[in-house]
Amino acid sequence: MSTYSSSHPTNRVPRVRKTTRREFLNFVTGLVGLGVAGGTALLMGAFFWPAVDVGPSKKFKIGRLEDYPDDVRVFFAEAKATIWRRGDTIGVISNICTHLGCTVATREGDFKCPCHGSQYDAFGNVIAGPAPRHLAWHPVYKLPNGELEIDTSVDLDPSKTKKAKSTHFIKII
Amino acid sequence: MPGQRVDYETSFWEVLVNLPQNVVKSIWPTEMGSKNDRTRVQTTFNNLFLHFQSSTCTTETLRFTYTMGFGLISFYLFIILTITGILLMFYYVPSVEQAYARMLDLRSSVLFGDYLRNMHRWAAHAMVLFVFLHMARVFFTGCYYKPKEFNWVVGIGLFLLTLFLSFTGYLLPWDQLALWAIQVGTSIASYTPVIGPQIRYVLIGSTTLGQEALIRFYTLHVIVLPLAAAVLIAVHFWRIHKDGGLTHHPRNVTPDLGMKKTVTGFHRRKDLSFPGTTKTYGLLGIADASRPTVQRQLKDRVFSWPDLILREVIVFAVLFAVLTVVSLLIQAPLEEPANPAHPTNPSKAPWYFLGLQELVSYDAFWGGIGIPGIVMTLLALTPYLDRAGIVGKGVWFHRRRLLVNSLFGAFVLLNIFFIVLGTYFRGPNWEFILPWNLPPLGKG
Repeated sequence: MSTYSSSHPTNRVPRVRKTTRREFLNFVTGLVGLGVAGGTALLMGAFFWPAVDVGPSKKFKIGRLEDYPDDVRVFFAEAKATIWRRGDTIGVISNICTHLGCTVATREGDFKCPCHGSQYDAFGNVIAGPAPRHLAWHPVYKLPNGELEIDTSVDLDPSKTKKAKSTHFIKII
Repeated sequence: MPGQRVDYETSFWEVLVNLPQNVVKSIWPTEMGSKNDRTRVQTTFNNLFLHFQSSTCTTETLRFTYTMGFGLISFYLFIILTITGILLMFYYVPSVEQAYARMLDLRSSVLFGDYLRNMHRWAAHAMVLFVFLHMARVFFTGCYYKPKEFNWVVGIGLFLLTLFLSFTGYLLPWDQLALWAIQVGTSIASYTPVIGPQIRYVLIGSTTLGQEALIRFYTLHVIVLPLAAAVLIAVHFWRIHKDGGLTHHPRNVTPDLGMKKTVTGFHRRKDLSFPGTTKTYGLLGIADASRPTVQRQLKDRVFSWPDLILREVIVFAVLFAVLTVVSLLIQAPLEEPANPAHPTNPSKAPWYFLGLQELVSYDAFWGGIGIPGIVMTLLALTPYLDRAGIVGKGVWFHRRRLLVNSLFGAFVLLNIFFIVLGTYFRGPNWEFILPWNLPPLGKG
């Protein structure tokens, strides 16, 4: 009675193939390796993400309302924006092409991009070329000393259309 | 035992006399040169810098009109660019305040500075051209079939690296070309689906172009991309060797020895060691014989030294001579200092990107990402899709490859068409213009 025969029910090997210890360890090691590699890649990616944007200020002082002739669009190079005075209102239109970011030229009656030929009307609405949307409008504020300041980081009309929803002439009191 | 005289086999005088010869022998322990076939083999086989080529090659490999030497020339240009690039690094400062002034210094006050900068720029232009020509040669001669499919993909990688290297390179002077190229290039990247703006932010290290962008592209240009290219070049060459040298049409490599013609075409006999598509024989096989015992099998094959290697040296000499003359005579472009308020009008990329510029002038996503992405993916997959196979390989414009060659030919012609259109028919504001009305480049 010391041994069972191989046909004994308790000694029969099941048909389902068992995962061996080696296969299991290989699988787990591979999984851990992948995790480590992925984590390292993520951290390396994060390394290239600047924690601080050291770019220049997006706010510019543009002088006083009286400095601008009525109904003439004036290119303000430092801010890459066009100042348009109409009576006691000021409109600020970005000169950065919405196509690939070249600086468009402010011309009499329109804007024109030298890089790929996009054309905008006087209000910055696309009339020709590859530009996908209208030029941005920026807000203008009056500082306590009477000077005007524009903020080129703010887009007053973020719609993705070729024509802006409305113009944004801001009354200076 | 102390004080006892030690007998040396040679006198110290002899050691001194033999010193130079012993040093040389320690560096090159085996006999080399053209004395006999064994030394010819050893010349290639025992040299680190030559051994990635096999010791023998087919006469077909040497036929200039087969390969045109395009791949070799591309490699030489990479070497020349590495050396001139390292030299330029000694005088360049990757700073938006200094970079442009350093270009003027190279022109005026650095010995050979102008010449080195010219050579670096013209060699870069030439490399873009020759890598493309090499790709066209490999395609039109049908040299990407099994087992070389992956090497073709590596080649596509090298082509892209060449373009990125040239792009990051012409940003470094921080002139008008540089500024607007970064502006446009990284804006194209921002049209990438889902993560576009994030890619641009990481590329230029800020939301505005400036110092962060310059130092990032500088690091990419002088170490990351060249290192990647060097590794891929090593893989590319190693694979050529492992895959049995250049692809040949069966009719060009001794069909009576290893090939037998069957109904479906030529097939290799599996059991015969034959100079066809696999390694032919080990060095041991001929080591002790006065003449190689495999001599009979060497029909249509020559030793790489001197037949192949001397030809390679001649190609280098001619290339370097031409580059020198060009670099002495023609100034590399340098536009006005970068001015964020006023792009030049027209603002044009170097010639090899003008096709792309023409495309993005219709649509930024499709011209800059969509179409180039689809075309490069299709190109990379070509060896896995093309079924013209064994019969069509190894000869220029084989009839069996008419369809694929036509497709690729159309790709080449479209490239040329868009580049010519962008170069000669686009004037101020990227408007259509006739070539004779073009304003001079870089002005406006």
